[in-house]
Amino acid sequence: MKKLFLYPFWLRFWHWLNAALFILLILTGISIHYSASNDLLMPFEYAIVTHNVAGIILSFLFLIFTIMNIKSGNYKYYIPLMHGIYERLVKQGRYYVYGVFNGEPHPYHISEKDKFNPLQQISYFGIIFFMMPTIIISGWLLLFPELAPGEIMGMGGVWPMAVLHSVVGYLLSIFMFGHIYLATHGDTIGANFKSMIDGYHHVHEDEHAGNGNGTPINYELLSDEVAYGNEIVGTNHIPAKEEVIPDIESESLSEDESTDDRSEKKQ
Amino acid sequence: MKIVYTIVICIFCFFAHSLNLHCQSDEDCMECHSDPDISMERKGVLRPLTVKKFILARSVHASLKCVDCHAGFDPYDIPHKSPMTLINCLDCHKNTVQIHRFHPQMVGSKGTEGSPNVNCKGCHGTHNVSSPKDPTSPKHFANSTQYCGKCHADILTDHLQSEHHVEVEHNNPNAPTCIYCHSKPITKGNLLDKAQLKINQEKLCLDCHLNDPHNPSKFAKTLVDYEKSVHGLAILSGNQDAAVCVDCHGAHKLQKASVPTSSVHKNNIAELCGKCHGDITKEYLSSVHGRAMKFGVGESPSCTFCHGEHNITAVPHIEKQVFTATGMKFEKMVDNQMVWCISCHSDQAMMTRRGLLTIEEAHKWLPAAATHYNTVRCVDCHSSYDPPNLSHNILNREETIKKCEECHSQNSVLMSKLYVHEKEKSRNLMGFINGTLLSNAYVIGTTRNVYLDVTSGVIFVFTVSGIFIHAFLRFRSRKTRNVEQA
Repeated sequence: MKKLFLYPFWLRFWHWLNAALFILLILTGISIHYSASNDLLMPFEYAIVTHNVAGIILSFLFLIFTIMNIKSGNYKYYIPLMHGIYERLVKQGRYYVYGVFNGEPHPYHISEKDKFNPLQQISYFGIIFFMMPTIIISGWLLLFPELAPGEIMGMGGVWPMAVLHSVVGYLLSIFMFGHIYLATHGDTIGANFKSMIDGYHHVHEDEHAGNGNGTPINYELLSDEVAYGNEIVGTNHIPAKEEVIPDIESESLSEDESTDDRSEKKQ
Repeated sequence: MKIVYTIVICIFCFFAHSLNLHCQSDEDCMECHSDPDISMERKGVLRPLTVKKFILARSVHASLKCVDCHAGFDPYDIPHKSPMTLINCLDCHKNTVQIHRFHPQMVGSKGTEGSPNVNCKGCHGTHNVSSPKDPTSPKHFANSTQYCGKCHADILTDHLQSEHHVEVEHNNPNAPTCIYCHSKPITKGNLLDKAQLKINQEKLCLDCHLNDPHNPSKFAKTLVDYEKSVHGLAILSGNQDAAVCVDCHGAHKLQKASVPTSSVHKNNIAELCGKCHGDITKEYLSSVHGRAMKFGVGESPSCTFCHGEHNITAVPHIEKQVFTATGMKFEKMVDNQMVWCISCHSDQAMMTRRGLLTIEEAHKWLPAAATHYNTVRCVDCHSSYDPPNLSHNILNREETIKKCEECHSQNSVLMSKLYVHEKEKSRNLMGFINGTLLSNAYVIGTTRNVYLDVTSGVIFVFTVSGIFIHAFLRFRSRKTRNVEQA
């Protein structure tokens, strides 16, 4: 058993506070969205104030999260390697719809280099870089409608903001359901939740300590072609180029060597 | 022999007949009928048969002989004939039926038959029959009121109060009486359809009040436009319920609008219009204007103030300054009728008198007031918007409906404007932070969009049920694996 410290305090703090605000925003958001003459979950006045305040806190929290990500370099985990992403997504998807029922191991194991599986990477990428900024900006523009563009494609600027805000909010809440459920796919049902609390990920070394089934540990030695070729399906992060190609002059040679290396490892 | 007999008989008959005719002179008749005691009993009633020659001599029929009317009598056969040959006035007065259609029962009567109320004899008399042109005749136009009133007492009461009767009493030769109007095809007896009757009635009134140069009417100016008005167009298109002159002014009790009992007096206008437009009158009566009118505020407008009397095209005089000060467009206000609201509510003197604010003062709070004036009608906000009649229930200033979102949610540009305004308003009211956070303004974006609600609902159900199915399958497969391992 090996313990990996993957989630620093600021990340865990952000994660759980963000989660609490998310739930609050979803509940008040639903209440506002469906409020008519009758109040759905809570009176309209309370819902809208709660939503405004929670939204503002969430957006400041996201700002801190962004700064900390840049500072710590954690942002790299959120940028997926697009080459071969489709194959990797299929592999991960296949695990969820088939492998998990047959006791197969996770196709991508968590390591310092690979915090996320391909599905996580692609969905977090969309959320962190697109959906969160969209919902935060549209929310702020609803607070300060005079700053909204006067006209968007012939429509008044505020209405598209409201539509965008509710649609993205809805997609995020659907994501939350999936996120919570898929988090139960750890070694035990609660393992991932525990990791997110204490910050440590427990690795079963016997399962994937350098064998061909798991993530190749010597990915640094892979050449460009291999790293970006079909073999990349086996790994899930950007290999650092300068490490891959130590000698530029003997490019073809290093390729052969690394291929050999890789095939040896598999054996 | 046969020929001789025939000739003898012919000669006898000829003499006998000529003798007979000769005998039937007026003198022959009067030989008996001048007897003041001559009478007969019929159906148990004693009927005097005396004829006063001088009465007949003064009548319009003075030149006629007895037998001209009382035809077919044998002077020696007493009583002359049974049953009597009835006198048929129509033998001479051939177009009588046409001009007497107002008494439909008369059409069946030829003169003396039928009820005395509706036959010739009943009105025109017998031997004393006089010409309607004779001023002493009860049928003379000036006398017909009283004469018809013998039977039609209720109508007489109405008519005696009418402006027409006042003119009759002032010996105005143009003033109409019963016969003047009722000899025209304006009543049911003419067997015309209702719309045509009403058109005839309208034409009859307009004949004098619009078209007669000898009878100048101060209303002629507005009457010109009657046929172009809602009512005028409706009746011409055959709408039987459309109002013509008499529907508002009354057929018999035609009084000036200044007379308090007149149906067209200011206080009674709402009730009058309500005969047809009942719902609107109900709204009007509960409106500030209706209540003020009831309270005795003469300045308060009634139906016709805004909608016009005979036409709806007239425009009141409003100071140009009002339009420049408020930014209202004159043509637009005329077009949407709001010019009538403005005509009073921009009058500083009247508003002060009634303790009200002028339009300009009252709308100082309204952002983009000029734009609102030109796009939203006064009644859109100032009435209890109660379809389908929007709306004659003009409300007090305190009760005014501030349903800005009714318009501002119809399109996204308007929506943005209202939302920005509401935010700014609440910031002015509660300060920057509170105003921003606590504002209740809400943009109806996807709210109540059925397609989005259904789509999101379906996705939600799929997600949740997918999670549960997956979790169940995971649980079961793990169990079977554990069993296998064991």
